[in-house]
Amino acid sequence: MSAAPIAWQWGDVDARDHDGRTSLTHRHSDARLWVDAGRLLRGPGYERADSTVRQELARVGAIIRLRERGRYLVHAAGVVDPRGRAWLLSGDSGSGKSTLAYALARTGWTVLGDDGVIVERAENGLIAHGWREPLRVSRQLADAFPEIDDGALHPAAGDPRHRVSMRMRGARSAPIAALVLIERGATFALEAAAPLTALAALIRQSPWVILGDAYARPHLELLRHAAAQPVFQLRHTRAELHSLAGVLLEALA
Amino acid sequence: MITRCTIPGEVASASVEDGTVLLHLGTKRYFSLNDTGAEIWSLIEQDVPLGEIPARLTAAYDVPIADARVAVAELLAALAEQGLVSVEAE
Repeated sequence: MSAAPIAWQWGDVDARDHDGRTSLTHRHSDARLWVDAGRLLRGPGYERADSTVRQELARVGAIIRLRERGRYLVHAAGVVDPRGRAWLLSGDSGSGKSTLAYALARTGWTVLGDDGVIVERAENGLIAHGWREPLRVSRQLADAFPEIDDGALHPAAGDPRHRVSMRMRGARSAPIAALVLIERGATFALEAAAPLTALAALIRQSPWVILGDAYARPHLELLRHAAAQPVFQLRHTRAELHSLAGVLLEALA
Repeated sequence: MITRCTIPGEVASASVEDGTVLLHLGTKRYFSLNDTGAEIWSLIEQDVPLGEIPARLTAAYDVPIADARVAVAELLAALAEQGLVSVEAE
């Protein structure tokens, strides 16, 4: 059954589409989980896999199941400003989502998630819900955030980015006010982005939209609505970490 | 010459202010169309006869009819190559 091509990947999990059913295979253990008609079914190797592998598979399975309830995970950090408005910071792995979320959280913003946010449509727009996972920040940012250099904080074993988990004030949900497409750069730039650019970026960061199931079209429609929000492209450097909150609020004013 | 084209069921689309994204749920690929391409796509979705599309573009964008015909033909060929439309030719 694994002959189907990989439809998308999330972390170490490969997803394949089998006529409406989805198989999730962990790349390093070959453990498999099926998502079939909204149910998660254990496949070969699942029982023997260690807990980390099972958790990763279950996490991706949950992402797919949420689609049935009109809730869609977007690969983005989510933060809530002092006025209660959610901002999604979307970008590839390593683009600085956690770093910027942490920088904003230090100034009093609350955190919905640093690597994923659940989005659903509401009567007057879109709501972002928290996807609770620890906010992990690279130890290499200790020059900007000295508290990270606490000897009691230990990076996860084997993490090449040496990230430590930071406890920040979380938020449960908030209406989405803006989307920020982020990337690291040598110079700072913040400018409005075109809706088409935003929609393409959101699709890239929501690969499960292309699953050939009944939820692909409503999922795409939700992303279309998200792209119609105010959207900014942010190229950031370390120099703006302590002024970012003011910059973003001014951009939306 | 292409005389008719239809959109396969496994193609989904979403339009925004400045263009349209096409998603092929079979090949798992997505494509962006600029505003002109999006206009052509919209006319295809509305089942406007292919022969009428260049004239509609000419009216909307003030382009010569010959240029509009070329634009439609090139886009249809590109869409067909990616399986985003099925075409019938004579």
